[in-house]
Amino acid sequence: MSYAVIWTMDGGAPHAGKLSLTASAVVLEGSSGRAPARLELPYAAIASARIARTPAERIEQRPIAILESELATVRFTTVGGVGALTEIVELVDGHRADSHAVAAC
Amino acid sequence: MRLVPEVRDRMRALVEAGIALTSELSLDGVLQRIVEAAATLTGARYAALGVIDASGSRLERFITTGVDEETRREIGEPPHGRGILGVLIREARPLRLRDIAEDPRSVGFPPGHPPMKSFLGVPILLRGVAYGNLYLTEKEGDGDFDETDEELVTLLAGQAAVAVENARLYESAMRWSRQLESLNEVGNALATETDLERLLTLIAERLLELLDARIVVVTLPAGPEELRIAAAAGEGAAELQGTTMRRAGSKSGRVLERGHAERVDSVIDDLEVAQDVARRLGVRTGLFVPLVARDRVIGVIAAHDKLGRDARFTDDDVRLAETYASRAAVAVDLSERVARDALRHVVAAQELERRRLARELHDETGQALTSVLLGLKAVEEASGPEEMRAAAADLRELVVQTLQDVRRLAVELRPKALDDFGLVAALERLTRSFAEQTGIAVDFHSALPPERLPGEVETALYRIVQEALTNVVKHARATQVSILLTRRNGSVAAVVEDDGRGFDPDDTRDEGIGLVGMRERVALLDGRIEVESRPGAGTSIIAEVPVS
Repeated sequence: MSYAVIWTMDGGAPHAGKLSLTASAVVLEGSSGRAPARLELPYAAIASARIARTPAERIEQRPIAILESELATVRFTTVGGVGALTEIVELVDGHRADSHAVAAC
Repeated sequence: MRLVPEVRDRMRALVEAGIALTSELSLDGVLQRIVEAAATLTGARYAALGVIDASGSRLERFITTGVDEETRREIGEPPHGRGILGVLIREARPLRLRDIAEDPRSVGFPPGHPPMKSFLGVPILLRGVAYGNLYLTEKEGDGDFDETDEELVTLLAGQAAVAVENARLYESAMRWSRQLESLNEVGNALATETDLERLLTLIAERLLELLDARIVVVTLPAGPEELRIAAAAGEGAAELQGTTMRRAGSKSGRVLERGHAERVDSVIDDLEVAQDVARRLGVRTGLFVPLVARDRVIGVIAAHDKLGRDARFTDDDVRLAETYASRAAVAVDLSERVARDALRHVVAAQELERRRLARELHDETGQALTSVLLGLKAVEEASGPEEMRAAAADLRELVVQTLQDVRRLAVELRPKALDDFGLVAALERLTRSFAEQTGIAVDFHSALPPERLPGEVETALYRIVQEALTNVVKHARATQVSILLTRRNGSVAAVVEDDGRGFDPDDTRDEGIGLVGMRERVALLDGRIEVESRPGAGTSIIAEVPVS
């Protein structure tokens, strides 16, 4: 499953690209202008996934999702796709729970 | 050995006739040349060649020389092989007569027939089997046909047999070639044509040509009790297309039940044929072949009235029709599966959208309204005017935000501008919002006249551009997108071009769900999508939809 997103890492420049949910990680690909970027956040490394709706956190007045991990803090909004943001966060949470369960076994 | 000049001339004529025969490729041409050569060689005023039919007892064709059109009309129907002609059919050996009328086996001539006296008949044998006979009458100078005439015509008949065989082989090879060409065309159409009706019409047209039939129709079940003519070719095709008939009481319905091909040599004698339909179409013979896909009979191809001397279809025709029926069955089966898949896609996409919408309403709007409730409580419980004003301000901010979210949700579901102001206005808003959100520059230009397009066309093109822009974000890594709306040749086109990294259109792995969805949308409107791209060179998507 992949989604069209605008994402930033640690408050850096926004990238237009794709967010994919693989079996083990959230993968963000895209570019800022011509510069390509790729970031892979393993579910196990994600400390929290939430939707931020406060005016201060919004981008272009749109709610965003925030993924916090030891590697980076990623903020993103979806391009089109009603309800996609909530869906992504739910799916990431599901994967995170699975990865923690596997680690506990 | 020295030949007398007359014999030498006749031998030369025989050799020349042989050469002429081998240079002729069509069977009709060969038969005509044989008759003419026989007349020339023997000095006969009239010559004819009778081709024996499959029963071996009658003539099915009669080719002549020396008889003009007017006389032929006066004589009427050509002979079938009674009397002296019948003797040659039965005995298959040369026959010479001084006077036909004197022979007790003669049955005389029909009215209008020119008088004929002297006669020479020689059989043409193909691999020992009588193919036909050469008949020569009225030797020039009122003489009789002699032994030399008989020998020369027998030699000619031998050459003629080879020429007939060659012509048959050539025509057979040509027929095979036409069939292969036609099957190849149908095969290509199966792979590329998405419109079932057009595909079945092509199959009907090609089968009509190859069978040399007057009418070919493809009928498919329409509900439990009826059949519908899905494609037709030949006489009255336009009127036949789309008409329905009852399954019970029609031959096609019976063939659909029984699942095997049937030949009808006389429709009026077949009790299963719907006689009212047969009379209306004026058909005499029929060939009915079931369309079988995965052991299921899903339709019937019917051909009527072979053109030419004999309207009946042959066993070869049945085999040919079965070959085409198998192609038509693949087309129908594929189309049914595609339709089912498309429906599944639509249902799945609808469910996904509803799930997302429900989640959005529950999580975002629901949560926002809960916050409003809490805010109201804070207003109610405020200890003084300052606190109340602050709580009211927070509440206002929250309501404004929620209102924006609900509006955004509504726009994403279905932009009001599309209904109120049309495609151009809706795309202007979409592209502006897209550029603001993504930072990708968008150049939007419309060359459409101010008149509104049909609603379904506007919706399809809006969704296609929206999907194309989503693809640009996901895949293109572009900095610039240009969108052009234009009208050309009775259709309207949306062209979306980006300066991104492109992809290989031949690599089907790159054909994501987005492109599939776009193709389905335009296909519903009889339109088409063209994707032009190559790695490193951006992508152009052209969606073209016909408008009346």
